[in-house]
Amino acid sequence: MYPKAIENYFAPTDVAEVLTLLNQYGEQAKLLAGGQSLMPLMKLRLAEPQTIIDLNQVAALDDIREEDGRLHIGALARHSEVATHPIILQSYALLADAARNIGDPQIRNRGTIAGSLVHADPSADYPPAVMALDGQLVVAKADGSTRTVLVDDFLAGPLMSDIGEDELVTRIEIPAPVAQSGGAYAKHSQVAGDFAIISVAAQITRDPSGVCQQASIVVGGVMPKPCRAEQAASLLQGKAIDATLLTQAGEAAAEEVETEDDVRASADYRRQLIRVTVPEVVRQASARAEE
Amino acid sequence: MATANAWVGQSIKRKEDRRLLVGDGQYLPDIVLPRMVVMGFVRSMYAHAKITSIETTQAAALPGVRAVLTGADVKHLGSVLSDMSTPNLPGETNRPIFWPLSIDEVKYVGDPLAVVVARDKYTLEDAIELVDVEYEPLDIVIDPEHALQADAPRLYPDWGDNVLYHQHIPAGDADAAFAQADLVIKERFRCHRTGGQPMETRGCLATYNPGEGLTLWLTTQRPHIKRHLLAEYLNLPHSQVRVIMPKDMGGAFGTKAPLYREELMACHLAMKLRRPVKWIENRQESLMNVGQGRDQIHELELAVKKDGTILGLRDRILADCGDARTAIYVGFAMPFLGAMYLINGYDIPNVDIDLTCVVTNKACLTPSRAFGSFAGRFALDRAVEMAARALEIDPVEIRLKNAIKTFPHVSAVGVHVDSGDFPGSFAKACAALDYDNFRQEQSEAWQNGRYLGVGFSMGVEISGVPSEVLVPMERQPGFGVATVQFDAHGKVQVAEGDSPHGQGHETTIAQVVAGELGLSPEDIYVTYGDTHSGPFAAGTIGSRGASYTLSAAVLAARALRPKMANIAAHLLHIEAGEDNFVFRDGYAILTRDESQRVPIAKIAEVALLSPTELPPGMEAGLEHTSHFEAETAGMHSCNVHAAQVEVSPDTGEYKILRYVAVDDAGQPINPMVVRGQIHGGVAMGIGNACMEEFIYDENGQQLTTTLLDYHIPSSLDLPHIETIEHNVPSPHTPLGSKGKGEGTPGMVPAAVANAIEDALQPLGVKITDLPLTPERIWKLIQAAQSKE
Repeated sequence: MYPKAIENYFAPTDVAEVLTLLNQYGEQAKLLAGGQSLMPLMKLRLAEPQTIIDLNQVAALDDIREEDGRLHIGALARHSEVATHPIILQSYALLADAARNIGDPQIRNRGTIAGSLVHADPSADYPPAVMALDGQLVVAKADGSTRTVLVDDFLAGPLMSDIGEDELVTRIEIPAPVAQSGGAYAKHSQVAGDFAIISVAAQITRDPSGVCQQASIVVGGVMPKPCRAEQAASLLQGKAIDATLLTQAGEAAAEEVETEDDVRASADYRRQLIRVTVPEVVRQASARAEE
Repeated sequence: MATANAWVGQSIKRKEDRRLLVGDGQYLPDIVLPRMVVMGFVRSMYAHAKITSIETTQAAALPGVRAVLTGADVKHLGSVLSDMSTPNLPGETNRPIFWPLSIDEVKYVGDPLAVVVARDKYTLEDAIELVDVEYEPLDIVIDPEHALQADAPRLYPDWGDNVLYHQHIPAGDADAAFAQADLVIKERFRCHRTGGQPMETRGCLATYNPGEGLTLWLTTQRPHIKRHLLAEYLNLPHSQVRVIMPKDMGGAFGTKAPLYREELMACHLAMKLRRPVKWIENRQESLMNVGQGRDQIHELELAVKKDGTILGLRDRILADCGDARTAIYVGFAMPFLGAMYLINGYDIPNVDIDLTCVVTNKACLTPSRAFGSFAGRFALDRAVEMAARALEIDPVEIRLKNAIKTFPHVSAVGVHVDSGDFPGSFAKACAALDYDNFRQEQSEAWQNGRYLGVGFSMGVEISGVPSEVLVPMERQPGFGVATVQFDAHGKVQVAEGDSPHGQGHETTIAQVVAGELGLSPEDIYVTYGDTHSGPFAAGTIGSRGASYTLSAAVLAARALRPKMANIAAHLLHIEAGEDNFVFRDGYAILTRDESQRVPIAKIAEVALLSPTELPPGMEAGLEHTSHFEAETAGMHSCNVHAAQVEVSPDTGEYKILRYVAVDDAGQPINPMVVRGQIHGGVAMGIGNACMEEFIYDENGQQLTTTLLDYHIPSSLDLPHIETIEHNVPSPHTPLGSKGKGEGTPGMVPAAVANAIEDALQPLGVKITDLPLTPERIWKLIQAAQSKE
């Protein structure tokens, strides 16, 4: 439970400096943000980086604001900030739901949204939530270029994400939902704050008559990464959401999402949790859309 | 004149808490000695394998490494177990031969096979990685029923089989009872592997010099017992071994009661290297090695008459003891006591219990709060529930019909139960739950598709273990001991031989001694943990604190009063004895004329600082040591717990809506401390029964070696725990007090399981296995529905 010795530790203060260091030390370096995944991995000696680039001194990487019809969340925004930010509570409630469900207060005070997405644990709370909101990651490179990647593509598999050794995620961008939109997120876990057995994120847009215009449903806690329940979502599209429809959506999601056995739960039980949880989360999302 | 103890029953704040809350606690890791080095282990990656080679050269050559030893280097120390460190029980026993490090063969994942000593923990872990071990895997046995088969792989080839311990416990005439039964409940119950996981892991710091010998700071529940076992194993004179439990310890729950191989290794290395050697177990090692308890299969039969009277019981118990390589308990003392306590609060005259303890390629069972009782209590209280349902008798009624009614009571297998009141406890539990109206509420809920249920459990929990039981079982005394000693300033030191670590002794013992001597708890300080400054005692185990140790302190304090009275009379220039004085508010007060009084501080001053003022011929000093032994073969606390749950039939998830604990503390010394013990015990019971499980895969790899996978509940996972007192003072302790530390977790699994099954009555599920995970409940619902 003591990490291997590191050779270099850097604490740069701006993004350009981070990128220069990454360019120099890339393959043997690890970025330290909240450290809630990296430090346990190092203590278990599952990660043995030679160089640590500590991002915590980098200015302006943690702000949360709306700009040009998009929510910008700085890479270093802590879970506790996301869980309580007024803009997020107002218009992106499912993201606050997800942040509130992560670990314990100590973890939420340190852990960062970009760190969680880069770590890409399929049972973590952020990945399905950011997917349901069609979030994108802005990734910077030492040569000054940036690229934007949809979170669905960024998450490559269990503990695998689309990030180069010389790249830094600088922010997450989420398109602002149109009027009468609402979202919700819930998870089933063995104890409070644990990784999900199954989690469900849903974002719904309704028209004034209550007909569902747009639906996005994502299931976490499945391999190799969170999965969009597209058939369930398309069932909702163009219809008024009622109990029968919700049940059908749950059935559809349970049908289309592949589940697996592991130490926490069986594939069958996961399927049942999807069947039960999708209707609950969609109902809550729809209720928020009405508000 | 004896007066009521003014401090008994008062919920004063704990004296321990200030230092703990502000970070002034003194734990093992806080102790640092000059020239200290740290120790760590190379542990087996295989559940069962021959060690074909261990290459240590690279590790030994790493700068900062002080020593690398393998099993071959410690073989001369001899096998760990002796007669003194093995339970001496009536059944047939096999004893494993083993050393502090495994030699030639490893028997579970985590088995220590080499040890590294280094200047710091970073170097230590680098070096551990450099030790190259080659294995030749052997066939493994993970399942206890497999262990019993004739062709099963053997852990100890010199034994005839894998049976560590076997005992047949017959009483009365079980066959006749079953012949007369109207109903026989026959069921197989399985309790998984779970137990205690203290916040502070194991650890020790050993130092040695030939003049003073060995000093070992150790996270332990029983410093004196460890001391004499260490002296024996290391072949040192008893005068050359000192064991000290640090002032504070982050819990134990039974896991720090055995003597472990790692501790022996630290002592040996300190002697060999002539350097202080420190070992702090990490969390993975802890989850790999200790806190694994329970793990039993019960094939239980109950012979019941139509009216609910239980005539007899048969139980075939199979306990999975793991590799059985820890001293004192050797993995089977717990299932033994569990079998003896199986019938517990029930008065069942005819029993036939057959206990088989087997070894498997898993970590050795270690004691865990509730000791061996957890699994059997679940099995019996479940079987009784099933009988009630089959006979359409109310679960409370069937329990009252069969509960111990008159005290003292001697159970069919010989357990002495001194005092209790089950009808009174059930009445309070039922009133709290509004049980009379619950059935109506329940059937209305069922009609609305909601599943509410109530479950009960009842228990007889040990309140200390008397010498009469402990001497034959563990070759140790059961008495409580305390030295009460005035200092020259009128303050009182109480030295006890146990090693409290969360039980609140510093507060409760201060309260009773203050009450006996007319002082305030602030005047009393309790010391413990050091074998060189406290009296010999068995340790903090088995709810001994409020029963035995505290009673010894009361007797020792009382024994000082005649001398205090004599000094007071002398100072007042009158003729008077103890009966003429009361001790109150810091004064010895003459009862016939309360204006005649002497400050107790003055009496102490005379006894210690100015003995020239003592009555002629009186010996100086004011102290006494008492050994308390109850005049009974067993003291117990009788309790009733009830859970009310709501279950989701769609997911098997359930919420414990109410948890009502009606507990008997005899005479609570500090009711807040008692409540704290019950809260902690219920929390542990819920964790063990519902969430926690040590899981081994088919290769014997343990899958739960981090707290991410071994799920201990937090406050968010626990219900509000309602504690209700129903106290029946013990007739055998001076204040009537009873211990409340040990048994509580054993109350939980049956209460919760009974409640879940009750809630799901319309669906017809039957719960026989733990843990009560939502998935397990959901699968039972699925199975019941597919039957329809």
